[in-house]
Amino acid sequence: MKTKPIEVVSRHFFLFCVFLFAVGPLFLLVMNTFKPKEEFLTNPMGLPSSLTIDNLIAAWTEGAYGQAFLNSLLVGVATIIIVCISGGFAAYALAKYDFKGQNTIMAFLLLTMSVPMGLFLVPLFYVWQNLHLMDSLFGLIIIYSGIFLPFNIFLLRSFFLGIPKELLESARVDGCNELQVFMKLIVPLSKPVFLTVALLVGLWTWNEFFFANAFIQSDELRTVSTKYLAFVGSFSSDWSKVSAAGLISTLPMVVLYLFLQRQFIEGLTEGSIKG
Amino acid sequence: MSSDLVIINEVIQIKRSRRNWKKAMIPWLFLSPALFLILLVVAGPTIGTLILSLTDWDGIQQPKFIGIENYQALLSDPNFFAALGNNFKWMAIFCTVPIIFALIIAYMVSKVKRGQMFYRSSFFLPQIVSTVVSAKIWAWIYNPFMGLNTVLTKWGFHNVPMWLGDPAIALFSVALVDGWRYWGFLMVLILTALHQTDKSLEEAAVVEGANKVQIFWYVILPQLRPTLMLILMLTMIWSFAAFDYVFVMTNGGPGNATELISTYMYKEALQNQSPGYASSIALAMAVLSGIIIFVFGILKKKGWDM
Amino acid sequence: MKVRKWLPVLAASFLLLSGCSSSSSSSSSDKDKVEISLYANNQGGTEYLDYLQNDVIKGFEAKHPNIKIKLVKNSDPEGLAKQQLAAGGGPDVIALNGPTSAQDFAAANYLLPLDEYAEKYKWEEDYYPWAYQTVQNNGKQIALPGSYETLVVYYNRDMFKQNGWEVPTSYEELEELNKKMADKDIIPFAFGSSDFKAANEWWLSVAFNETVGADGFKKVLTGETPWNSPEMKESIEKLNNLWTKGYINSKQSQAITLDDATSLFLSGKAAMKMEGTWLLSTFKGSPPPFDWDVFIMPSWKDGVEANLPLALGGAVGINKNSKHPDETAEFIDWMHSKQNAEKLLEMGGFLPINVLEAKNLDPHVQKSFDLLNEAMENNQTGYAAWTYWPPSAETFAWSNIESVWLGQIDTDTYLDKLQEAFEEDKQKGKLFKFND
Repeated sequence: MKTKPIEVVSRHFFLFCVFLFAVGPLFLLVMNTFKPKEEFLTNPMGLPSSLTIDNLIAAWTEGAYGQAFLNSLLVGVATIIIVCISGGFAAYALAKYDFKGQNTIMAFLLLTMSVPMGLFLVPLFYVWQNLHLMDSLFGLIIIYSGIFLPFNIFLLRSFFLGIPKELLESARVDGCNELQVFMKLIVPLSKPVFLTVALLVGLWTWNEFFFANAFIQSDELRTVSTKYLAFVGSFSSDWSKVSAAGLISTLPMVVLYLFLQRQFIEGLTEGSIKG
Repeated sequence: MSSDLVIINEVIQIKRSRRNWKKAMIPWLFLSPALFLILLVVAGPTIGTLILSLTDWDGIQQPKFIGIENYQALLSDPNFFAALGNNFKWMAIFCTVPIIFALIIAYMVSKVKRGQMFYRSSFFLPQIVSTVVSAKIWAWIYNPFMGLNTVLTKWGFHNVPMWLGDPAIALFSVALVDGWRYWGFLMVLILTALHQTDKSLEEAAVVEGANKVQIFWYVILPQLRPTLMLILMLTMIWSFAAFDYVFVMTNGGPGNATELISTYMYKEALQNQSPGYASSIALAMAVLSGIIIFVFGILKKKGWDM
Repeated sequence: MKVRKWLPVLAASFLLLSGCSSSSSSSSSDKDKVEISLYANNQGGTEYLDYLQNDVIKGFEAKHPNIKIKLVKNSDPEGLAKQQLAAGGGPDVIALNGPTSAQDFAAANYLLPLDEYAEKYKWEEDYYPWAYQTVQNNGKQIALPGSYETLVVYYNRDMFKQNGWEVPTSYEELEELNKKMADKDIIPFAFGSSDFKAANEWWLSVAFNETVGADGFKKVLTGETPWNSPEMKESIEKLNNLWTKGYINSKQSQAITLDDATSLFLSGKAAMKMEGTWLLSTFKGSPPPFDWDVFIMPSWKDGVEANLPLALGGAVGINKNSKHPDETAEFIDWMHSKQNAEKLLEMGGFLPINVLEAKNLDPHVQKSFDLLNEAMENNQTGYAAWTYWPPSAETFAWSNIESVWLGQIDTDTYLDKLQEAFEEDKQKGKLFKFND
């Protein structure tokens, strides 16, 4: 099938318009971050006449973003570790063993995966209060782990299903116990899917604000997204600073995305197909 | 039979059953940490919600058991039905606009030789940006005194839409933002499926003299059916739980034009001091999304995705 | 309780894994050191938070080196405290949104009766009786009253002068003035509520008090006359008239935030802003680039006297579970001491204590302070929603008025339902208890 040049050009033109729609709002954010504050009021939508990093510096220091980055990083890494280990174990059990109650567990996971998050918020408050896990990053990590586990168990399970059973049997014959089979065989074979899980959980914890907002109160424990919410609360009339804070909150994930595009895209899409 | 043999037999059986028991325990041991976490965070509190929904708890006083009174109140609560109606509108928007848009764009992208990766990654990018930040950006764009409308009026457009201020369109304005984030994800799903379509069928159709629309309609679309059905299910489930953008951008207003069940529940629980009633709303919501999953489950069993 | 047993084990193993520490258990090596926790609203403006941190907390810690005050900033300090109190925790100092919440909290037995401390610190002598009495329950002192506040109209005096506009003295004049402004493409009243819908009750407070009159409205609040009387209907219709004509933020009040509305006033796109006296502190931090002043909203009906809707913007009590009630009492006494109250006064926060000396105040603050005190002396104060209206009626009123403005429900239905909500409050014994 031959395509006329005019068709190629018009197709690219159309896709470029779509590109503007997808990326334009983000471009606006970048532009307003570097636009001088005075200009913002007179020309909020136009191109800046000069560039400044004052807003960025002000947002970083006044918002105490350094601490928030550390908190988000800690929460992200810890959640990733918990989800990978306990989720890996669970997925292994579901993929490689036949046992009574397997279907019940699968149905249970499917149910918990589709429970709307608001459904268990109020009782969770009281459980957390009584366990003294309120206003602590550890408490938040446990919440995230519990919420993200079902989806990731499905994701891991569907990958493990593809590993031939004979491989496991031969390892058992070689004298490996069950844990060793998992650690020495499954884990090295499943590096790509664990990377996907890590990326997804990392992205979600970085952007999550609903639970972080409800369960963290101290300023010094806030994660990046709730830091941004609080920042908007106290500086909302200063759009330049709020833009800068938005850019600061977004940039790390965007950079990570640019480097690991394929893993992100495949992880998110395949995850939802197989999950 | 000598008694020795009986004893040996018994020993073997005990050993075997012990081994079986041990063997049966292994998957549960592997499952236990994850199950514990899920029970603690999701399942346990969900049951708590079920119990709370049978009380008149106001967040302060001792809760009192009132049976199904909350559910009766729910059935005569116009705010709940307004929110439910908005949820269905929201679902109707998401089951059509972003899917069709993503389908068209994915088809176009699949026909592009150069820059396919570029388009794919940039269309997917909004998915990476956090809700709170993108909601704020769009709130600026929609701001009637500072945003897009100031530019439009400068260009000579009058009667510009009052994006978030007009109750007739506010829900669509917010849906546009959520759709802006969401469609790129669908595009990638469809694009992947397009790459797996059978190219020889297309070529055969060209030979037969079919035009482009016919090829798309009769040759390509049927091959995308499993993907599209899956997308439809995901979209229905997710759109029922929609919360973030409404919460950040309009808080349900103007009036209750953008109120969804999720935001209504949140308000009842934390602002109106009736977590008991809010729990019954949450449960009604869970039942409705349960029905959707159930229906799709049946459809899947009947082989709709073949 | 299975969970409790399991948790330390799990926690320990996860701690090892992730190397993180749960910060809630701050280890206090010094056993004599007492820590008192206090929650404050993080959206109350940076000026107020700076004052709280630098004057109140640092000042107190300097005087009492063994006591440390832990300040937690949150967008809903009262709600947070409530959840924690229900589970047996909570901060030592309970910051409440006003007398109504104080009564609720006291009814749930969350607050420590303060009578012993009241005697020790002689609070009764310091506070205005009207304010002090709003935080009593069954003859017991349950909290200390916070700042009192009112709703005034801030206006751009430069703009008024340039256009030859006068401060209106009646509803008709107000309407006429608004029309002139709108004709010049100036928004008469800047107002935004997308991030805080309850702000709608400022307008409702004004409408009811200025149309029905303070005394007439008090009868509604005590249940003597209903909310759906013709006079009340007139209030809503007059408010509706202003809104539907676009005089209140060009019918876009639900589309922008509170602060965006303030920006509209500051940038000269709007001529006036009707808001509480708390805005004075915001303007102290970022002063408008033009000459501005405040006036009292005129009466909306002939024969009704203009009044200032009065409110108590907060109350502060002590957690019943507090391990350090004595130190906490010392702290709340210090919070409202003459020294701190005068600093607060400079920012437009008026604590109801009678030893305040107003010296070198900013002229705008001085004027608002005088207006309010004068109105109080002459009994020209009305009843603002967030202090005097019972909870269900209050919530219904502000959350549904937009639907009236947008024509989704009519005034009669709105008021009938408001009356129903009020009846519900009445049954639960939640009406404001006026002390005559």
